[in-house]
Amino acid sequence: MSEPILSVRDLSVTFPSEYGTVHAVQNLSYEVHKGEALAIVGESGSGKSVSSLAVMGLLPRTATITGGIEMMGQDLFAMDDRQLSKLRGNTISMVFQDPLSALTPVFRVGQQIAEVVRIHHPETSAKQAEKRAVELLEAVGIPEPMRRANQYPHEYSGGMRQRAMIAMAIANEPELIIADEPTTALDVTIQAQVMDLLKSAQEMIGAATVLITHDMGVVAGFADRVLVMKDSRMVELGAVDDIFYTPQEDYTRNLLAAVPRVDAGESGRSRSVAGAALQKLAEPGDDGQEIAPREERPIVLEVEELHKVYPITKGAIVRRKVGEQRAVDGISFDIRQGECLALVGESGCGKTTTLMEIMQLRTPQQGVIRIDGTETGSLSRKERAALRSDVTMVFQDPMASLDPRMPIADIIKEPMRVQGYSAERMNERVDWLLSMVGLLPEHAARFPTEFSGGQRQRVGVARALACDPKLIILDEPTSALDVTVQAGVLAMLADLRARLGVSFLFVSHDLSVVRHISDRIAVMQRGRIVELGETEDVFTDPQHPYSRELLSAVPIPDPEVARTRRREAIDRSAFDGADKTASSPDPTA
Amino acid sequence: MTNPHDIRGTDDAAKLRASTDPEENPMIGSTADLTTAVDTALPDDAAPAIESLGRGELLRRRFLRNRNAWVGMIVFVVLIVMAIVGPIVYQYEPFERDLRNALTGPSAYHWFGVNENGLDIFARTMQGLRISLVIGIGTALLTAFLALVVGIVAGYVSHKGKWGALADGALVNLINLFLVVPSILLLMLFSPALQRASWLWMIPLLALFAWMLTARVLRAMTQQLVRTEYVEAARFMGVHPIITMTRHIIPNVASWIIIDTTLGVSAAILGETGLSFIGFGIQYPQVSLGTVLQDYNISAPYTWIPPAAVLAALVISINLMGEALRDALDPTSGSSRL
Amino acid sequence: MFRFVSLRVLTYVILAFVATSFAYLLSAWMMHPEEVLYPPIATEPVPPATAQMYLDVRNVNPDTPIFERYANWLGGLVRGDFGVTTGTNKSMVPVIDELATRIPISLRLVVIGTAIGTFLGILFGMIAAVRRDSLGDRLSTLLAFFILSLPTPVIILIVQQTNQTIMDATGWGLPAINPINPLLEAGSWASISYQIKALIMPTIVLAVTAAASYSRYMKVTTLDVLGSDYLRTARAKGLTRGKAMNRHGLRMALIPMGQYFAFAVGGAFSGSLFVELMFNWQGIGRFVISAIGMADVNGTAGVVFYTAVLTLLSATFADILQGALDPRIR
Repeated sequence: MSEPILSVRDLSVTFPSEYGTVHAVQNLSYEVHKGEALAIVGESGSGKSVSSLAVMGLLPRTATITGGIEMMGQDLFAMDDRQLSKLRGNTISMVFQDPLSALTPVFRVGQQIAEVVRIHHPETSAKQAEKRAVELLEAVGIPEPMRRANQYPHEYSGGMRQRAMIAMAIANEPELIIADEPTTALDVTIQAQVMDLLKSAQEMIGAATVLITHDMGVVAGFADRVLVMKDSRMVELGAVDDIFYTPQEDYTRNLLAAVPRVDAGESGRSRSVAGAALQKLAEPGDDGQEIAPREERPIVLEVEELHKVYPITKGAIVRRKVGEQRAVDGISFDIRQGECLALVGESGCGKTTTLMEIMQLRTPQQGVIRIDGTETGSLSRKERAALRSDVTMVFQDPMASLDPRMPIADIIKEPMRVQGYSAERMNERVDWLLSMVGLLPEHAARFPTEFSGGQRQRVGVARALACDPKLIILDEPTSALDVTVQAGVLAMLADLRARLGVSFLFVSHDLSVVRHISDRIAVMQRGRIVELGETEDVFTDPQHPYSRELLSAVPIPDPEVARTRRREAIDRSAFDGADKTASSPDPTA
Repeated sequence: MTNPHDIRGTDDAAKLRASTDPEENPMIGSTADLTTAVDTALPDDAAPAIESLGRGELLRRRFLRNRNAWVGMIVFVVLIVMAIVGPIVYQYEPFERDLRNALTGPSAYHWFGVNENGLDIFARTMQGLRISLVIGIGTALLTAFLALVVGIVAGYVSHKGKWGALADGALVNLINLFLVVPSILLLMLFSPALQRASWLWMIPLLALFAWMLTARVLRAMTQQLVRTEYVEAARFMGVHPIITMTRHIIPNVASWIIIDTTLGVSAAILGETGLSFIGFGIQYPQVSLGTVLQDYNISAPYTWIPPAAVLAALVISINLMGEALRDALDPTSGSSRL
Repeated sequence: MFRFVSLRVLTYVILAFVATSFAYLLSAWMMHPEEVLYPPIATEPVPPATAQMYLDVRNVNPDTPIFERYANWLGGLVRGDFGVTTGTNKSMVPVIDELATRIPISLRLVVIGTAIGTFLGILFGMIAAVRRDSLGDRLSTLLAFFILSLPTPVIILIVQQTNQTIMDATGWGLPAINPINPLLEAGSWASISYQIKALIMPTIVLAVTAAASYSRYMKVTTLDVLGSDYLRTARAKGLTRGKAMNRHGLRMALIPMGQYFAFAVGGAFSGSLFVELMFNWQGIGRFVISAIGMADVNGTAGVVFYTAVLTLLSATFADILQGALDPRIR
């Protein structure tokens, strides 16, 4: 193997904090060789991002760093900010997690890309740099690069911003690209495109790459070697195939097992206990219980031709309507007792609007919503208040959905209080509910901040169950959780459904998550349901092209499968454009 | 993620283990395989769980750890004792004239000296300190109340359909209306007429022109809170809006209000002394620190330095406490009001 | 951008109009010029007809309904006529003339003081945030804290006393009162240099108070910017800390400052009130103090109108600035 580009030796990073010193990274050592892709995988708080920021020299000043980092033979710790700046953006570049905030909002995207060229090549004229920026944008697949270069970041979509970030990262053909969760904030189809782009860009310029991610699926198709981190320490380091097929450590195995897979149906039983538990619970019929066929069960929720149109207005004083956004464009579905319907779609497809329309319990703009056969528009104030106990909701963000100032017991009692339960009954139910969701009755007096994300989500579920609802609406209940925690929450939800016979409307952007929990799947795109069918049918034989696209975009945590799936490549001719602009005309022009 | 908050997950994981013990927890028993799997993945040397501190307790600790907070509290208490005891033990009255000693410096009889009208400066300063304290604290409390009502109502209704937005717009414009004309002008207009009735009128008057900025901040905070999922959850449970406001919104802005009220005391004192200084504040039978300062004489520094020093000590001690409270609440922010 | 600014301006105009109207109605209702009609030394009462005429001509007759007086005043306002001074000031000077001679004096103070104060505040605030916990940060934060804890009259007294002490010790000092020296020949070098010297102390007072509050706000917004992702991106591109801050951070930090600026001129006006009083400048501040003191309804309303316009202009300026800095709101 060639000389390493980057070698990290015994790196430790600590931060001072209120509760004493926090060890963010401890004794981490790894090397990255020329052209190699290393993935650092770990759950939130494992120290993976901190270690890469240490390489960039971008940690806050409060951090204490020990150990050694060498970049192509140069000791990075011996350099001052000015010397490091010469490396950053030129020899090492970085793609950050959140494309929404990573670009300066007040400068044009073209300017920002041109800037990175000019910083390291001051001899380039401003005009040449701008031209180069356009070429780079074209290379990363931005349509109409000339026009787009003159736009501001807020006019770009998330995926486009991340493309622009990649353009910036490859502008000076660096030796090393560090990508810190580059696709976490993106939709699944965009995520696949961006990962493919990043891979092909890396291969084209022959740079070594460090990919930081929590998602084993992303790793499979990208990395040559994988480093697994947990609680600030390295757990395992090995070639990608070794890690995926013969993991040595328990934690790695759990991490792999907890990843929901869209292809699990074909590959039979998951290899792990965790996966098996998940799968077992997903099939309520397994334990021999008699369940009436779907058609004979009563309908809990019925949505008919639901429309929601937001007017787009212009003019400040006299508002005139210049257009409309059809957030929900005539969707219909029903949920029967004990059934779980998954509503799947990417951000902006109208799934949240649909939920809100249902939860309002009012007359929708157009269409009908019936709960237990009662039209929501026809309800009196009193009936509506009573119905609130039948339809409840579990929110996406377990940090935000519980009032931080209330103890858990009060949070769970809140809906019961509205329904006028007696104090005695409430206390009784709180204990029962807590044990139902896998918490202890002793937890009732604690505050939400004392719990982890997964536990808080369990509290959220307990609150939703408080008044024996008929239908629980789950709005991306696991998307904010780490994969291992996510598996536990999903298993609990599946178990609750089997035991209590409650119906679920499970909203998710991730097909792989809903596979084991839902009976039927509704795929939503641009305010419409493009496909609605039995879960197995949708997975094995998707009818609509969009369903197929969604399915194929889900990363599969299997290196062999993943390698066969890469599609998009970088536009090499556009990228090379600048190197020969003087001599030959741009072939892509 | 560069901030240490990202690192919190370690502790969370330790707690998760504590609560997913299959034996304690029959429901989890069915998924025992899963949880034990997760358990074994947790190393035993995971960071010790932080002691569970209530938010109030944490605030108190951080506050008391702050040296400035102690300085502020001690000075403030000393000033209050002086304001209470001073006029009782001192032999001169604020309006007792000793013309023979007019414009003489501090002495054993006149601790702070005598101004050119023969009035004793110490007696007047202590009396003024009393008035300023009462006005400062009273105004701050009233201001906080006004701001709380307007800010929370405006913030809460702003998302409630067309009428809500309209009501919010009206309240915002009301706030702006108060900000368009310098409030000192309007205070000057009202104050003399109301002073004829009672000097206590100064409190509602000052409060009337001081609530706007606080209300603006509270409105913004409420708007953010209304969008949080736990307020939305309350709405979907059918909780009455007023209960939502008192149970979810006010407790979550309470610490900010406490800080703002503390700093509001000093702001009110500054406003009142300024107004009194130009002759539109506290009137004759009463004395405020502003009216004491009014009798300054540049060629005799003792005419203004003692009352100015008392005033500065008062405002600084309150501000020190307010800042320490703010630091305790949010150690990363150095924010402040005007 | 144009639409945004023009809408805001319209809102401000309406606000200014409503505020001024309120102020007129309030002062007409609260003040009683008829009570100070007769000077205490008058020996015999003025005949009722004369008194009526006297009040009517000044539009302050309490027998005329208040809204009619308001309508009269408004009619005059449209023609650029603010009425005449009333109350104990019997000379019937048109308010507009008073404003015209006094506004330049006050505005000079307010504009120079605010400009210097804003600049210094932004500078110190940014330095304090970038070099957090350095000696400079601690000093400037402490200084700002003390200045904000002192009422303006005390700051003026400190400045004046310092000047006086220096003058007593060295015999050289700045003029403590009056913006111009009437004894010097107008336009001569001596007169101009006196005017400049007279401007120094008042400007210091206003600039220091403005700088203190601006530096605190600037420190907060800069700290926000320092923790932002885009600044990290800028540094990852290869900009040093300082360059990244100058090219990307400064502009972002200034955007929220625009909103603080909008209402800061009102604060500067209050500050100038004390300055004019204590340095004996015949500006708007002094005028309004005496106008309210002697029940001059028209004069008070005129000053309120002036301050509303001033706030309006500064708010518009802040909006334009914000629009120029931030493409998102254009």
